[in-house]
This record gives sequence, structure tokens and C-alpha cells, in this order.
Amino acid sequence: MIKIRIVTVLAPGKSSLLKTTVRNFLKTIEKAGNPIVPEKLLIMYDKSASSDVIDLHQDEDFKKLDVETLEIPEINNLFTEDFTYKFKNHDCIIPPPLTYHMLFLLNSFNSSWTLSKNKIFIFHTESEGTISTLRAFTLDNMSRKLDASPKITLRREGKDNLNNLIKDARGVPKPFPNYNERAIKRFIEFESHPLNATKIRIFLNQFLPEKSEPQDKPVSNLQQGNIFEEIVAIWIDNHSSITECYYSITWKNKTGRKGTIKEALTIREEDTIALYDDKSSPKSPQYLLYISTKSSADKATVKKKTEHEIQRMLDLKLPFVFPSERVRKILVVSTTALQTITTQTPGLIVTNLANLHDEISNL
Amino acid sequence: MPTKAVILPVGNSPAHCYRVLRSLLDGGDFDLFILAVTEETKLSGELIQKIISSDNLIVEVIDYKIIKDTYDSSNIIEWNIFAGPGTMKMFLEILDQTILLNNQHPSLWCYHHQKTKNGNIKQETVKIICVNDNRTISGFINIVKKNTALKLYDVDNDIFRTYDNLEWVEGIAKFSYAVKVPQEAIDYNKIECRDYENQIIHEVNILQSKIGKHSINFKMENLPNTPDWAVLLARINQHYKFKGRYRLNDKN
Repeated sequence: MIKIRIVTVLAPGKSSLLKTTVRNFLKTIEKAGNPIVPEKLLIMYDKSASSDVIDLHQDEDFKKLDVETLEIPEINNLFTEDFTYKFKNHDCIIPPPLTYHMLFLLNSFNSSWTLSKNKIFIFHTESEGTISTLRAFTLDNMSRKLDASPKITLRREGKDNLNNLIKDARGVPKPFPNYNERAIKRFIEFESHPLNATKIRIFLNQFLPEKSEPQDKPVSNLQQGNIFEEIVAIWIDNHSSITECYYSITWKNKTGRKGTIKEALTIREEDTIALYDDKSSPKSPQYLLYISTKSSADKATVKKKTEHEIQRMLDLKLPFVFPSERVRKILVVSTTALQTITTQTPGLIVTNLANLHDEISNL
Repeated sequence: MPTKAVILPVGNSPAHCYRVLRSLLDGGDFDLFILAVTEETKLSGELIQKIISSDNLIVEVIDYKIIKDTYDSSNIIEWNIFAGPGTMKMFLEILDQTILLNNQHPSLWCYHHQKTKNGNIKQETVKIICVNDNRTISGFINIVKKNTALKLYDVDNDIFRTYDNLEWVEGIAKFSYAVKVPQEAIDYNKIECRDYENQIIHEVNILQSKIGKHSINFKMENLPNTPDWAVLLARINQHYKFKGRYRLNDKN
């Protein structure tokens, strides 16, 4: 049994990502039954990330680890200041986002003469996020001979944490509205046939707050869009393989000093983001679902609007980093809109509410 | 004959790889130059090789996974890896293989520069440096000519006719594309603004897919000085790092 120190570097604004990475490392190692036991965790950071250094002692998953932090030089000064990290035998590196740091970590290992033999581990999760590799190199300081042990490939354990990803990207979701599930199911059934736009608007009236409007009055365009978006989000959350679901997320500007107008700007809003995890098939990867909705059923404009939204969705980039291999984009439209689409669009699932659960189940 | 080999992974910016390779060829004391490629970057590696070979210089293009099987360890006394281009997975695979080949820690090289507070590169600090011992390669070759760039990216001159505001910037070895906001944009309502933004993003995506994500800079000119446009630029900048300025009456 080898006791190791996990070594990693914190990137600016990525403290939640670091927690998820270390947590997944711990779970993967534990599950693999590998004879290495994490005992310590060293988090390095430079000035640009100093405000992101977090106290991990409160977190249940990290309680068993002795956590230490270390400031390292900024990128500008990497070659003029002392790189403060000093290798310790059995350090296990989780490769940092910047290659520069990786090179300095490896160099410290290569320059360490404290013991006759030094061993370093490197644990790396591949970009699609399903496979991790564990490497070990042993340096004999007498002969200066470096040995590489055979690389071990492990299935990545642990889960992505969507809440943390959204938080790191400064996204703020809205709380779910409290709609009656039976009313939602009735609407899905009602909307599963191509209908005239006014009928849909009248039907949606029941979702407005009580006492606001007479029951037979159609809701406005804006209300229709908002209620449709809410129903889609609730229905996605209702799917048995969805583990996290957030709706109507607004994103604040990342630049600008704290408390300034620039910083307070809301620069982006997204309909729904969810995490799919098929528990019945443990080897299937987790998918991030990126969902947009278009409720329009007005026959005169719906085709153009839908085509426009399809193009927007294809061009859309996520507001945070997630392996593109595991991202699925979904556009939920009215049944009337769906019937105007004649060809499939690679890279995008276009569906109506009635088929939404089937589409998710078939991922 | 003892050989010093240097491995340069080819990533998504062939012009950067090309100028690093030229610098290593001109200023380093290596005997063997290897471009390590993936399926996706194989063509870029071959295009670099073709341009270099026209100057009677020899480089080899090898799948990064088979370096160990391709070279005889007895012929190579020192392995050098240039790190930066390519993925971490590539770097680790290459590291593994060089260690297995001669049981020595390879020399690790990188490209480094300092930046000003505004994020501009201090040209006098640009260098290729070895992390092991701070050795440097003298005279980094910054400039990549437009004709060479077109060959490296396998595009012809027509691209500049299709995209009026596209240009090649020799000194930074990147394309630059200027979005010129029309004058009437100041009167756009929110929906028109959003449509315009989608149109820009679509154009940008097409250019990135033709040229490569890391090989092009974007800037926005004539940006109306209003909060709606500030939001638009901030939103686009989440992914594309457009250069451009917006001012708000920000008294905080």
C-alpha cells in the first residue's frame, strides 16, 4: 500500500471543477482497488486564482485528506522566479490545465535527489471523460535511470456536477414553478397534434397564476413562450435518467470589476440544461443535455422561426467546458413546427413534447 | 552516430508549429526532427513537412502513438519534447514512449513570452526555452508569410475575396477577421441585435472550421456605445475573444 499526495493546480474561476476532479479521482482509485491511498492534497495556484482558493475541510469527501495550498509564480514570471513546488516521493499529479505547470512539476521530480529512488504518479482523465489512466515513473538516483511502469487504464468513476459547472460559469437558474403534473400531461397530450396557435394559447391559460385572467382568454406571446419553456423543463426533470436539471439560467458577465455595471450585466439566458445518467446501464456515459424551446405554432411564421433556431442551436457554444463528445443538443418545438421539418439535422435532436422522453431514452 | 531528437506535436495551429519548427531547425542543435501527429492533424504535419523539405531540410511525420516502435533507441542519445501544441493525452503518450526508449527523463521545451497588463505580448521576451536547464533557442522566428500560411492551411487566395475583412497577420502568424458593425445598427431593437449576433457567430464558426480555432483572431469595429451592444460583445466574448471596446457610464 502506497500513501500518496495528490498534486494539482487551480485555474482561475474553476474551484468547483477542481473539487469534482479530485472527488472523481478518489472514487476511481477506490473502485479500482489500486494499492495507492490518497493521504494529502496539494492545491497550487498563482495570483490570478488566489481569490478562488477554497476551504475543502468542510466538504465530506475531503475530510480524510490533509489539504495544503501553495502559491506558485504567475505565468509571466515562471522562468524568473523560483517555482515553489518541491517534489515529494509518491506525489500523484493530476495534470493541470496549462502545460507549463506540468513541465515544471515533472522537472521538480527529475531534479529531486533526496532519496535513492523516487516515484511519481500521473493520473489523467481523457477528454471525453469516460476513461482515466494512471502512470508511474521511478527514478533511480544512483544510476539516473528512469523506469516507466505499464500504464493502467481505469473506467472513470464519480459524476459530473452540473450545479458546480453552472456556478463556476456564474450562471443563476430560476426555481421550478409549481405546476400540477396532471395538467402538464394533459397539455402534452393536447399538443401532440398540430393545433391552431390560439387553441394552444387558451389551453395554456390554466398555468397562469390564479385570479389573473378569465379562463378562456389566450395567453400572450411572451407568456406562451415562458410557460412552454417551464413545462419542457419540468418534463425533462421528470425523466427517470435525468439526475440534475436547471431551467431559465442567466449568466453574468465574467469581466468587469466587482460591483460595476459591466460586472452586473446579464449576458446570456438559456432555457434548460440537464445531466443524463442511465442508471440501468452503468457503462453508458453521462450526457449533458442542452435544451432550447420554441413554442410558436403560428403557421405563417413557424417554419422560418424553427429553421432560424436550428441554426442558432448548431452554432451555440456552452458557457462552460464540457467534453463535446458527451453533449447532446435538443430543440423542443410545437407539433405544428415539427411537421415543417423534413430532414434530420446532424448534431441536433428536434422533437415535440410528446416525443421528448423517448428521444432522451434513446440517447 | 549519436543523435539528438526533438519531437514536436502538431496541434490545431499549424502556423505556430511551423514557426516553432523553423526556430528549432535554425537555432537548435538537434539532428532529428519529428512531427508527432494524430489522425486529425496528419494533413497539417504533411503540409509543414512539404514546405520545410523545399528548403532541403528533413523532418519526419509520425503517428504519436508509434514513436517507440519507429525509432531504434541505440541511435538516439537524447530525447527532447516540445510541449504545448496538441493535447495532454498526446504529451503523456510521447513522454511515456521516450522514457521507455532510453530510460532517461527527456528535455522538456516550451514557447514562452511575457504579457503586458493589457494582455499584449512583449515581443522581446518571446523565446523557446528548456524547462530542465533554462537553455534557449536563439532567435525565435515570429514571421510566417501569407503564401506559406495559405499552403499550411490548405486554402487558396479566394478566401480573402469571400471574406472581405479577413487578413493574414505575419507577425503573430494568425488570421484576423474584423466584423464591421453597420452604421444603422445603432437603431437595431433587441431582436435585430440578437439576429445580428447569430449571424456573426455563424460566420465565425464557419471561419473557425475552415482555418482552425486557434489560428484566427476576431475583432469588432464601429461597435455602438450602448448597453445592448455591450451585452452582445460580452456574450460573444465568452467564446471568441473578440477585440473591441465598449464603454458604459460606469461610475463605480
